[in-house]
Amino acid sequence: MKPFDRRKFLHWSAASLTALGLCGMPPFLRRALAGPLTSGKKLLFIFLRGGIDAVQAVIPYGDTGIPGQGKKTYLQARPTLGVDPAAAHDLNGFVSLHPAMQDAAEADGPRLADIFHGTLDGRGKHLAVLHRIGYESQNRSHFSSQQFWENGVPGAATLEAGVFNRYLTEYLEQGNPLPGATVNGNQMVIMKGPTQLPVLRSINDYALPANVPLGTPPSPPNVLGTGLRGAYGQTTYNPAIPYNPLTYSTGVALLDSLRFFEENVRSVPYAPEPEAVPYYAAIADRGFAGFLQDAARLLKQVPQLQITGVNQNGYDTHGGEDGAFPRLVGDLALALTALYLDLKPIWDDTVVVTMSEFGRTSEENGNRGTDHGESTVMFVLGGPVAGGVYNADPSRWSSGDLFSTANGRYVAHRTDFRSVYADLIRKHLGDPAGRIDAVIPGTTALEAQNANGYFSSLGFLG
Amino acid sequence: MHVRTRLSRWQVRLFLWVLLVVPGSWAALVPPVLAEPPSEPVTGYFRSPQFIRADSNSDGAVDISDAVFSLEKLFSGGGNVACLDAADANGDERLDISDPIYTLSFLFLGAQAPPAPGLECGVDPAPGELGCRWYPFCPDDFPLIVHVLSRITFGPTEELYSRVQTKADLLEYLDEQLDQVPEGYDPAVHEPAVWERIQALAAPAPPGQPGQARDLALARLKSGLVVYATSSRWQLYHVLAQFWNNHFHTQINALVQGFFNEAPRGGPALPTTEQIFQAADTSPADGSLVEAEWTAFRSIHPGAAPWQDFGRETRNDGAVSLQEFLDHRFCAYWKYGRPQDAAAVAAQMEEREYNLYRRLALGRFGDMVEACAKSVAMLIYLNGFENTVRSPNENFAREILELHTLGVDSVYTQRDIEELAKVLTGWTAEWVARAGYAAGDINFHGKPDSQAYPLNLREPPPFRFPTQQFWEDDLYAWGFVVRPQAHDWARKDLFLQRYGGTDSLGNPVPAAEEVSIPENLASRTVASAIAELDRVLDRILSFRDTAKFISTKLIQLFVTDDLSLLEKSQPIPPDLLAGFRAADLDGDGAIERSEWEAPIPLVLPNGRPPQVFERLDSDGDGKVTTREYQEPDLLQACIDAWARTGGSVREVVRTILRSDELLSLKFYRAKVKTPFEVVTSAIRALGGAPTNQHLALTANDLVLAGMELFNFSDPTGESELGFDWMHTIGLLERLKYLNRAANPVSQQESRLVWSPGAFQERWGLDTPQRLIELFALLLHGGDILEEHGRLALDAYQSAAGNKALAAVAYLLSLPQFQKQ
Repeated sequence: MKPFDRRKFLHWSAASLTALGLCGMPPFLRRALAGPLTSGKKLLFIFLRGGIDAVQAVIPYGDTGIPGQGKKTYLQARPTLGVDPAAAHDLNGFVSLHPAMQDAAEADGPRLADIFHGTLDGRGKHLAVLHRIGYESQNRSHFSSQQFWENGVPGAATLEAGVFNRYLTEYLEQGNPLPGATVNGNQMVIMKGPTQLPVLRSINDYALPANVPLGTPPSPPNVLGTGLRGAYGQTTYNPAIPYNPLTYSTGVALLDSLRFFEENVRSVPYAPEPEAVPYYAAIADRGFAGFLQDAARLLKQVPQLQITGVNQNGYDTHGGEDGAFPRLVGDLALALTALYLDLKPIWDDTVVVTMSEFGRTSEENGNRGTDHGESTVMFVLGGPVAGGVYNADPSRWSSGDLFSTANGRYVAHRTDFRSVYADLIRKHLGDPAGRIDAVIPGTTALEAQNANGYFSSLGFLG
Repeated sequence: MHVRTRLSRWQVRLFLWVLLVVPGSWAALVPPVLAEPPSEPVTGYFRSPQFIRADSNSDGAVDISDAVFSLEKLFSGGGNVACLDAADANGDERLDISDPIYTLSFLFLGAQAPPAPGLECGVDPAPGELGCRWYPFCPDDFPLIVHVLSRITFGPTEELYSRVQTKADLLEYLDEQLDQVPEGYDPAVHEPAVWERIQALAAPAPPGQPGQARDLALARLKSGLVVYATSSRWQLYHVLAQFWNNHFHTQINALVQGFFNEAPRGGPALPTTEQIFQAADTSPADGSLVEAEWTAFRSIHPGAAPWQDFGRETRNDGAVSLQEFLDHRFCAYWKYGRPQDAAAVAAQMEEREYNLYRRLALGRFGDMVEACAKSVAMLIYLNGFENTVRSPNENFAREILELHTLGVDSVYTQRDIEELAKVLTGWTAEWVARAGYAAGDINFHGKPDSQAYPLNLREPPPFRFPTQQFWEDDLYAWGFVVRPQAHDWARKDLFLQRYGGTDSLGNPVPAAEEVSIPENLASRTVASAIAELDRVLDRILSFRDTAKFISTKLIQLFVTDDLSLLEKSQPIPPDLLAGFRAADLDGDGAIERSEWEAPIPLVLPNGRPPQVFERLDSDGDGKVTTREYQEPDLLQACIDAWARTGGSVREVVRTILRSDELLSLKFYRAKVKTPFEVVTSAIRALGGAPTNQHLALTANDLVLAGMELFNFSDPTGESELGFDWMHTIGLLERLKYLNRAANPVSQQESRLVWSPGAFQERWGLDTPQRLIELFALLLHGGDILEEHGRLALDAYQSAAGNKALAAVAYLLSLPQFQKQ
């Protein structure tokens, strides 16, 4: 019995699932008990692929190093990449924002720091910077670590079901045409799983050529259905053949969502908030900008949509980081600012969160770059967010912590990423039926144990 | 064997006499007309039925009843001849008295056996007028043929289906594909028609000319892959070439952006730019460049930019100063100065790398790893070129272990990555003179001690601009070079037990496997630096996990994504049993978790890794049995073949292709096609001819479907596993492509040139039913749901435009076409 993943393929064994508390009632029954969620809470995530150099984005100048133990300061560890403190923007007297995150603004328009300090409009301080996020026994392979950040089970390299898919499956409302969607042009594990959620490249392109019959599902009196929907809606295929159920159900999900987009999204006039437009336009990575705009549009336009997300690629800065990094975080700052402006109508119900598979080596590597490291930084933005810096002030960051892992090369983590996810789920999206362990396996046990305080809630959602 | 000769000669004579004088006796001998079999074998069109020659009455045996049956048919018109070819005992394409005589002579007089296919099931080698409606006693090999051809080729074609009619044909085809690829395959020599098509692909625009050359270089590269895949005779070879190129993947845009567009790395350097300025600023040499000077310069050096490109610089004074020249983003359009030139450089590098893996595709795996380590594209992509003793870079070392050989976290540890990175210090890519490289050394690996040509002196005065559209002139190329002064000559230790590495079964690395390279105090030569890697590679290639990791990927390529579905029926081999017993401390035949995690002093103080236990304990009962511990039979057979042959890809692939797991219907349609396979199988099945423009559009379609080929961002290469491809956006883009291929809305939308007319003419497709029948056969091996057939007919009838095209597009859009 594998409640959150029906595919036989996964090697994550049934018994370990039982151990993690995932067995028991079949999902439909649990759903029936839990009841549909009608909170209207929304989440937009941005996955920063490649491992963001966390201490370059949010710079811990406050770490004065320990000269006697050879623990350098940020500037000593970064002779060529190091950013002059005068150029960076101070957040809390301990960490500062990379200048490219601050400068990435329309001439006199709002900047990310204005949002951080809550000085922009009457909305208050709604940007949280969560430093030192990671997990025990950090894996330094992109592919494995992304997998863990997405499936929520560090160590389960082949588990292809994602945290957000499991959440939406637990609280799936019968007949909800679009509980979630990825606007990315490619599938992400975090949104993969038992519930088929559309992946699209752009709202406008999400259609078949005009002469292809979309068709209707098989239903009396037309038992065959018509067109492609008829073809993929047949149920007489052999379900024992691997990927048959997946192929047919993907077709059904596709063709139904194509019709939904045609009738309920594209046909409704839409424009982003005018203040956000120049920010979207200034993002250098045009693919990223397009994905982001459409994700925001879906959140605003489709009331039933709870979770959507995009990728920002390119953070694997082994060399030439001085050139690439400002472009990347500049785009990210523009993106967060654009969303702040664009999501205003649904601000109180919306949280934007970034994640990345790991941070990087604290010391630069000689190719003006940094290698794979350990803890990373997350930005969380939205009406429900209690703004501020978390895990990066003298109470949570001692001098020398730039090199605080056992091998003395990386920043050790203070908070497990699953604790951040658990907060997002329980305090924001809602978990009325207490299904957190089905969404993030083992959460309650890990919290009870709370080894090293890794599972103490940071409180960024109050 | 189907021949019964129980009767003696005199008995036959008596028998025949009775038959002749007692007319009523015929009926007793003629078998009842056989009922149609429950599922009729697929025949007709390009599929010939199998039959046994001389089995006139279609009862599965050649005996006297066949002669009797034929005689009766001839003289009294009785009986029902289902397979005329079978009744044509002498194979002369006529049914007459000579047939029963032939049969009787064979049976009782020791005369010649019936001609091909003879007494074993087979097809008529020269089909004539007679034909065979159905013959139930021979196996229907078609599903197996459909299955295997869809795995080892880029898609079956009508021609291939015509040629491979039986399982015997299929085995012959497998052997041909494995063993008869010309040694040193060169398309120009061995497949001139394919090569001609490759040569005709659109080339990037020459330097200095506007255009989308950057995308064109990549599109050309991808188009080439489609051409090889759809038109080469050596299908398996190209499947493997693409597999290896993906296994050792390098990303073209990473080369462009991270190297050729970066001045201090592979890009243009300022002194050179200054030299260009000075070379052009001659009349007078006054530090100010005017149009006439530049035009004169360009007449000698057509690679340079046109004057109007200096728009902003000339706006004020009509001239370009040295500072303006240097500030101009693409200053002189010096080689690689423009993004599209850099892309052309990188594309050529990718092409050569691909050609090298193709050449080695069926050879020794170790040769490919070595080629990968020396490949210029790889040295750039994974930062090997900047891995020096002063600033070691782990990137490439990690991926050799994780992605190219052992597999993630098998045997090696972070310490091994760091040590291997040291072994590889000083390995780099340089601009070298071509002279002295052997003709077959297509990727310039053979002279690692070549003198590096300094980047900023790439073109010493007088300037030698490229005269062709490509980056390379006939003198220089990028090649593999080792710089001894950048190599770390200190001691390196790999695979030490105390590092705590374990293999994929949780065993500590044996002490005997440690590799120590002592500090080099003596001959610090290029050869001695390379010898260090040879030593480490020898060890890496000898680990069982390398054989296991590579074999697993090959099994996933050809048989099934999910190896847990494979049989485990063989006894556990001794080497695995030894590992098992070492962990099974109480010797009760099962490893409990406590035994697994028991410390092994000095080696694994924390016990064996728990995640390996989770993986091995497939039924989740908290203990690992020998059955769970051992490998599936096919994987073990591959590992054995690897060990027996020193890592011969050909023999591992042969083991897979000859296995019951592939040569049965157990994994029929069990894989999802990649977008590339969707494209190639559609082109091949329709017999389509894509133009250059079509191929460029198709390359873009593949990107939209999630397949970047040479431009995929991660060193993992693109996935072979179905669940990575089957999602809504992927399916949407596949369906878009297939409909544009078969039934485009407009000419601009089309993806290939094809016409159903040839099919209609060839096979007499005079009704929609026949049209659908033929294309269901060609595209789906005839195996579609009954409902799908009716819906396809509906699609035909309700189509507003060309009905035949609409029906074919619909058949291509069925779920089955996404499977292989």
